[in-house]
This record gives sequence, C-alpha cells and structure tokens, in this order.
Amino acid sequence: MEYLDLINRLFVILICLFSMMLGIWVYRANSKLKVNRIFLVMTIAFVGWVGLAYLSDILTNELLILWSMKLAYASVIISVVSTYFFSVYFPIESPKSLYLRVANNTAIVLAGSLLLFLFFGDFLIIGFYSTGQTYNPVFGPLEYVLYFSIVAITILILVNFFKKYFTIPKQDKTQMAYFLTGLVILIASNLIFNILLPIVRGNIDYYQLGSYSIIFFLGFTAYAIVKHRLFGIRIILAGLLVGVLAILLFLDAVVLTQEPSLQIIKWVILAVFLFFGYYLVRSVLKEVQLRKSLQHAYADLKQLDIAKSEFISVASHQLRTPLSAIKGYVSMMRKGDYGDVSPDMAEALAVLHESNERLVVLVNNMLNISRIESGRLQFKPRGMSIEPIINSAINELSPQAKNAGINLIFTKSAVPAHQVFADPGLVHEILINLVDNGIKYTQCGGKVIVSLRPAERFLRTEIKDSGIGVVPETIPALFKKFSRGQNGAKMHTNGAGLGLYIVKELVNLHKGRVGVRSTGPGKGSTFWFELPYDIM
Amino acid sequence: MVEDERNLLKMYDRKFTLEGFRVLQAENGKQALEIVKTEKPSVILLDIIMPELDGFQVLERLESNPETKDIPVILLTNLNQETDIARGMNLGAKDFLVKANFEPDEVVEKVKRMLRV
Repeated sequence: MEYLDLINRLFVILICLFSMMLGIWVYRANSKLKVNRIFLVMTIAFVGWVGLAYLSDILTNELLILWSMKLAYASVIISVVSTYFFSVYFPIESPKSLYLRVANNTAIVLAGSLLLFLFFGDFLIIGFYSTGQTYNPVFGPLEYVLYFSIVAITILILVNFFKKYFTIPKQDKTQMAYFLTGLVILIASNLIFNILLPIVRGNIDYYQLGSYSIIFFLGFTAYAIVKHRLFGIRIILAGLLVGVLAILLFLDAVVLTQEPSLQIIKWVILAVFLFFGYYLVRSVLKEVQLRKSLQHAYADLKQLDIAKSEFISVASHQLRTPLSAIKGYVSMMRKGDYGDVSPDMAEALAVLHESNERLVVLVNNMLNISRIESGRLQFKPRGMSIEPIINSAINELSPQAKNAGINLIFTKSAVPAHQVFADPGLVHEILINLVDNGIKYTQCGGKVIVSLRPAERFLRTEIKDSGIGVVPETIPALFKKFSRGQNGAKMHTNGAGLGLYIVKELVNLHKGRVGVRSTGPGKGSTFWFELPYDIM
Repeated sequence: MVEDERNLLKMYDRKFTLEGFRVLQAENGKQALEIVKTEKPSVILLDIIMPELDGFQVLERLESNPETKDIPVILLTNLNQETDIARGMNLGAKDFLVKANFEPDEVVEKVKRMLRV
C-alpha cells in the first residue's frame, strides 16, 4: 500500500505542476484573449480539485479535512462552470441568441447556488467518515442536486460545442477535435469513477483515477488553443511517457527491490533509461521545430507563388491592350481599309500579323499558367463531342498553316466518335496548342494531320506532323515548363516552352493522358491526348 | 463604342464606319450614359476597365433603366477570366469578346449577326 501511496503522491504533484505550467503557458501565449484567460481559471480550478482532494486524504485535523473537502468540491463546481464559459468562447465565440443567454444564466445560477449551499448551512457536505485509507464526505439532502447540476452544465457544454462544430471552418474543427478528445476522456473517467462507482458500489475509493484524467483534458485543450505555436502535443506526450516510466522505474528500484545487487542493476537501468529518454524528448522537440520552420518556409513560398501568379495575370491584361491595337490595325491594313497595299508591304504585314499572333498566344499561355497554378482555373466538364472543337481549332489556325505552306487536315472517321466528358473551352485550348506546335515545327510543304482514335475507355486525338521530330531522350522533359525539344530552339526562337506544359496540365485536369511518339529527328512526330468518355 | 484607349476607339470607329455604321464614341462609362440619354444606339460595344464608371457598372445602369435595357450590349475587353465573363453575362451582356483574340472584321461580323443586317 505504501508503494501505491507514493505513486499517488508523485502523480498528484506531477499533475498539479504540469497543469499549472500548461495554464501559465497558454495564458502567456496571448493574455489578451478571453479563451486563454478562461483556460487559466479552468486550470487553477482543476488543480485545486485534484490537489485539495488529495490534501483531504492526508490531513489529520478534522476541521481542515472538512474544509479542504468542501474547497475541493467548490473547485469541481468552478471547473465545470469555467469549462462551460470556455465552450462559449472556444474556438470562436458562439453567436448571441436567446438560447445562449438562458444557458449562460442557468450555468451561473446552478453553480452559484451550489457554492452557497456548500459553504452555508448543512445541505451538501455535512461531515466525513474514514474508509481506512481515505476520507469520504457525508452528503446532506442536496447530494443528488449536486450530481444533477454538474451533469446539466456538462450537457450545456456539449450542446454549445456540437452546435458550433457544424458551422465553423475546417481548421477550427481540428482545434475543436483536440479539445473534445480531452473532454470525452475527462467526462468518461469522471462519470465512471466519481459518479457511477460511488452510486453503484457506494464508495469513492477510485475517485483519484477520475481526477488524473484532467491532465489529458488540460493537455489536449492547451494544445488546441496554442496550436501552431511553441511546441506540439507530441512533445507533451513524449515527456509524459518518459516521466511516468521514470517514476515507475525509480519506485521499483527504491521501494520494491531489497537486494543490493539487484538494486544496482535497476539503478543502472534507470540511468540508461533517463539518458535515452532525454534524447528521445530532445529529438522530438528538434523534429517539431524543424517541421515548424519548414511549414513557415512553405507558407512563404506559397505566398510568393500567389503574388507571382497575380502579377502575371495583371501584366497579361496590360500586355493585351497594345497587342489588340497592333492586331486590329494590321488586320485592317491588310484588308485595304487604310488604302492600297503593295505586294512587298503585304508580305511585311503578314510577318507583323504572325509575330503578333505568337505574342497573343504567349500572353494567353502565361495567363493560363498563372490561373492553373493559382487554382483559379474554372473546370466545368460535361458530355460533349470533340469534332466541332477540332473544326474550330483548325479554322482558327488555317491561315497560319497556309502562310507557312503547310497542309493542315482533319481526317474525320465515318462514324462520329462517342462524346467525351470534358470542358469545351479547355479542349479548344489543348488543340490550339498542339496544332500550333505541329505547324511551328514543320517545314514548308509539310503536313499536319488531326485524327481521332477511339479506345476502350478514352477517346484519343492525334496530331501527326511531318516536321523535325523529337529526339527520344528529350521526350520526358518535353511537357515540363519552359522546356523545348533539342531541335526546336534551332528552328524557332520565339517559343517559350509553355504550350506543352499547359496541354499536360489541362489534360491532367480531365484525368486523361498525353504523350508523343517519334521515330527520331527529321521523321515527324505524333502528339496525342486522351479524354475519358462521357459515361452518363 | 465605349473604349478608353483612344487608338482602339479610332480603329473600331473607322472599321464600323467603313462597314456603313454610324458610330457614337464614348471614352468612359459616364460619357456613354450621357449619350444614351439622347440617342438610342442599335448596339453598344462596351469595354470593362475604364476610368469614371467601369463597364460592369455601366451595364448595370443600362439594364436597370427601362429606356435602355433593350439595347444589346457586347462586352469588348481584354479581361478574360471566367469570373469576369460570368459576371458580364449575368449582368445581361449579349456577348463577351476578348479584343486580342478577335480582328475588327470578326467583331463587325458578330455585330451584324446580332442585328441581322
């Protein structure tokens, strides 16, 4: 029994110390927040509960025993009512309503009257008796009112939280889940050890076990409040584990072992354990700090990335304005809207027109990338036929192909292909990029052929050209941002290497596949992409 | 034709005049709303980003005024985010054209098709 007493005493001291540390830690993390202040009150009340309950067992003066018992019960009441107000303000303040006003007042009135009955008159605790090891209170007529009130306030706490749980943002939900885990452990162990067992078995010998659960409650809650700050719950748990095991090993060595040689061995074991325990906690601490700094770095990078995308988006819009003026004037000049055009001038205007078109595509692509990367691209797939989109892309690029002396053909199959599940605007974008690519890398007199190849689950669209081909080694890098095939740079210096990257991103969005095959340099290449069929 | 970029305004004015249209010019939203008080255009080509009142605000006022709400409006802009397109179409625009993607010819074509001339 001595052994158990010692463990119990150590546990009580540890729990009280640790809880107070948590309370102060949370309070100091941000003493201006109501939640943090209420948490400190909660901690003091819970520590008072555990400490005074223990004190009443080891005291000898009768009056002191009675008073520490009463104060312990007062602490229980304050613990419950402060937890209630915690539930009002955590993780965000409950919206003001008639229900909330009634619930707040109910909690205050119940707790206030219980405190009055506890200290004035013989209603709640009127004396105590010894069970041999501990002292149990003798209750007055309001014993069940006490139980009822505590259960009632607990229900109000749970109602507050569950009402809030469904309306708060996701990150607050995680915070709340931590708190609720601790609360469930606390309520469950107190229901069992402080209410069910006393009623069923008629004694409160195990009530300390209920009290111990406050450490979980306070630990989880503290973590929930100060999450993302200082250190994480893993350090608390690792420290707790090492501490508890060290105490047990210590007791085993000092109390349970009489034989000196065995004692020495156990001391050595304890020393080794402490050594490794220290390094365990330290390494967990280091890892958590490392992760924290990584998280910060990641958040900074993300911020930077968003700023970059935003900049590109604004810049692209600004770039388009002069581009549209060039496009418009050149197009009108070519059509004779500004007077007759000599053949030489017509040639120069054609070059001007094509260069401007390339710039328009480039700006559009940059804007697309910024939208894809910032997650602002709207993807609205539906059942659609791909043929009309291919026709429109070919119509759009025909003048360009004609100027370059390239034959651009769409070989339609006799039977129309099944509908695909895709976003028409994005499919158009994919086709423009791939066909434009084909034209760009094919010499005068060559061919670019678009065709459809139905497969089992996907509809494959192929864009086959008779152009410069692809060196097999460069294929894996081809769909990466700013990448161009080895021969590409020699033939065209105005590509930015964005088109295929966008194609890949857009096809991925459709959960399709994209690829290229080529028999080698100078032998042409076939780019293809597959889109899923519309199965609805 | 509501367009704050002078060069574009001049360009579209010339194109539409050559095609036989009478063009009323406005360099910002406020001017556009002034003009529709006295004239009733068959169609309004409306830029979005402009000083004074922007295209969305002009569109809103045109749509809420019983005298002007029947005038078809085509947004002719260099914005092309899906959100902008959706906003314009929801406010009652008949079409949304990105300037950099359409030649003046094609814009005239769209207007003719809309007016069935």
